[in-house]
Amino acid sequence: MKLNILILIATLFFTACGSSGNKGVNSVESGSTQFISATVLEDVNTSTMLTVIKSSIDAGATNAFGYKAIKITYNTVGENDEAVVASGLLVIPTASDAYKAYLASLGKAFSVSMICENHGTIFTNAEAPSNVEKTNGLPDYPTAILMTGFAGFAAIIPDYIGYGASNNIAHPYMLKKSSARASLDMIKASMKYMNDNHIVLNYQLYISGYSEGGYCAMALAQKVEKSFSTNVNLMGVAPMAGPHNLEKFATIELNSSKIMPYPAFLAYVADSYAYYNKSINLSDLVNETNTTLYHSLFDGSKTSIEIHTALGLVTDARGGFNQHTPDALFKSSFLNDYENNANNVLRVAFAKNRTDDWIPKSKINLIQCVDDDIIPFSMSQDAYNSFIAKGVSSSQITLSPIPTSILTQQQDAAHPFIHANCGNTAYGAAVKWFDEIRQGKIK
Amino acid sequence: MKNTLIKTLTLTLMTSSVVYAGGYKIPETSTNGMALGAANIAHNKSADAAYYNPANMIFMSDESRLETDLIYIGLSPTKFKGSAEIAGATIPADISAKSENFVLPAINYVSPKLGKTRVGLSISVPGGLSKRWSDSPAKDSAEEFTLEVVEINPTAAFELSKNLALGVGFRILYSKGIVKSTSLASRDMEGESLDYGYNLALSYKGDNSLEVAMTYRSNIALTEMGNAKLKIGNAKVYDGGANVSVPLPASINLALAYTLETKTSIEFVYERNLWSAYNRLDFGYRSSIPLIIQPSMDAPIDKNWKDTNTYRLGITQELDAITFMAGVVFDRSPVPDSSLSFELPDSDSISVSLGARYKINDKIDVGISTLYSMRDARSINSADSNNNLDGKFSNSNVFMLSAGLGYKF
Repeated sequence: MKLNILILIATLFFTACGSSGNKGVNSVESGSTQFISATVLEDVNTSTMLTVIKSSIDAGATNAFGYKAIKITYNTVGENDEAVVASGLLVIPTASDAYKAYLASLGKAFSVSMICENHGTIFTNAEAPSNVEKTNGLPDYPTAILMTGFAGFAAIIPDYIGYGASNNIAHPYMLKKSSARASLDMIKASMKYMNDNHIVLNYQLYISGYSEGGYCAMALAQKVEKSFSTNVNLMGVAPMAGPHNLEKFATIELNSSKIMPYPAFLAYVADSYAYYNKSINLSDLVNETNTTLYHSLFDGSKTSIEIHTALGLVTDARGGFNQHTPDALFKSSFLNDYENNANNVLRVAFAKNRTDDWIPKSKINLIQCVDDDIIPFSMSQDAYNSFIAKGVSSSQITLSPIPTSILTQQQDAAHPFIHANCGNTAYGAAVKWFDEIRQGKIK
Repeated sequence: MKNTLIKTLTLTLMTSSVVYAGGYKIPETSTNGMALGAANIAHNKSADAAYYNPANMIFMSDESRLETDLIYIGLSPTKFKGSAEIAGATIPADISAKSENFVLPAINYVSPKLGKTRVGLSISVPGGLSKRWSDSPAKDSAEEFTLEVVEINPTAAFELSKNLALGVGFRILYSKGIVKSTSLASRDMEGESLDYGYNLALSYKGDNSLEVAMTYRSNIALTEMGNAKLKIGNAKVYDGGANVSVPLPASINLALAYTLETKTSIEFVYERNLWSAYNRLDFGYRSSIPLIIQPSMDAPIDKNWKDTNTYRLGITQELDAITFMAGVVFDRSPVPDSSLSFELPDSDSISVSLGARYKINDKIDVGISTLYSMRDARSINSADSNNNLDGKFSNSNVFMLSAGLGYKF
């Protein structure tokens, strides 16, 4: 009898055992849902890249990284939750044997950190990163040359929905949800490709972007922190010259007495918001009565000059367009309502899509030229103030104003906009900041 | 209610994990075993013979014996002073592991005679390891290293002659392992395993108060299979099946006992532990892990443990209603300098023990015992260490206390 009790205890003991957790294959999201295909566009060796780097970035450079450019197509989700096949450019660094030996002498090994770079506004599909990169034996995408060839990061550069593989779809311009999603899915697909191709990833992710890309970078950072923070180490975010608070940006830019510095940007925003928001009618916003024609201006086949010309905003033979107040493009009734009615549908939509109304956990460096003539510097200043007011530590949030005087490209007839001229300097500052974080110089 | 009770018992057993003897064996699995420093093999005539020497069950009086024990083990917080190299950087350290306190239950049963046979059953915790560090550089490799082992050991004894008996046993081991480390790359693994082995015993009980025994417990590879979560920084890069195997090594005991007319029994045990079975620690994963962490998380780790000798001496003095016991143990560490690490900073030890049993009546007796193990401090220098350790481990002493209740029926 006693023996039976002991056996019973022993039997029940085993039935109570068990451990939790997945015992099968790796359940960590691999990007296999996103990844569709990869096409190698270019594979430039370290020797050629050193020549390129010396001529374009640093004449005294002694090391450069190989530049392997791949067009990635991937699944993502559009603004209306529709399935979209999108594309982007992935540029992977390769280290020279000499550099590997140098690292080995320090007790280190080469591993790859990632930058998701979000490009600024483009109007033609030819400007999409995966279209800019040609198979010609040389690197073609400037920011990738800086980030990958010079600094050794993998550059993940989404074309955005509306360009590249998804050129048949309207680009959701300055729309937070799909902008962030498209970039995040590009990251996932790129990581899948790199893991499958035995790239030694260290899972450090940096995010950058300029102008529209600055807006996307901020949206993406929020998205990564919310839904991908357990899959990567988000080390630093550099949103540069982005219109983070669209409502306020438009309030400034639609002021009836202010000259529109670049009307096509505002025209593009109006078209995008009307296209993706059923409560906004394009015909209520713009003077152009042929809204079908208006919408077609942003189908990726028209340059900004063609757009300005079609909208009747070119004022001289050289294509000058920055002579107009907003009423040259927008209906006065809309401008008046936007200025005075807090419930104006576009204002409400802009407010919903602002990207500076959250509490980041990652390091953020807001980089912008103080004299930016298209995106006011106040966009960065206000975002900084907003984060600080929400209790984010000043050691985590950096505001990096760039004085015009230090720009490598000063204003001239061929380079009339500080906003554009500032790009190189801003990217230089962002990549330097990323590198300092990567090296542990910034904790 | 029954399930709750069983789960409580299970939980109690499963949280009982320690590192005590050389390596991660726990030889003292009963009150008498502790009192005699586990020298209770040749002369054993109590219920724990079911575990220590089942052949001796033949020589016991014809009645059932049941004994339950509760064993407390307290481990001092191991200290390490020195430095360790991690990712190319030398990190100075003056740190302590967490102190550990455990209560291990044990149950032993010996049946009445069934012709020339007797059967027994032992449920005990014969091995285990738990070392937890909360500071770098130790937590980089051994934030927690826990191995919990519970053994169910049904045995049978057969009379070969008036003076000679053979014991056999079937060993059922349930084990659970936890491996955690937090560094640039981190691991959080839990696994469990059900494994089997056997044990043999041969006892000679002479007419002249001489008793001789030999016991053997087989090597059992504890193949922990479960789940591992791997991280690089905060990024989880793997969450899936994983396994790792560690041996509970074979051991051979040669035991001799002699009882004087004064009812003083002197027992001696020579124990050979075949720790050389532990030559590497090799984690496996159901699917590939990222390249960057393969060297630290997937490459086999050389252990190259050595077979060891342990010497046990026990003295028992029987009086009318009370029995006094004492023991001393000389134990060697199987861990070579090359693989000495934070997960098990093992060292040689000398243990002393005391105990007593009191017979309340013909059916019931109670016992109490204690053991103190004095472990040597152990120095290591980086030239000898595969783990880039340079410094000294100390303060790994162990205090044990056991109480038991015996019942004959």
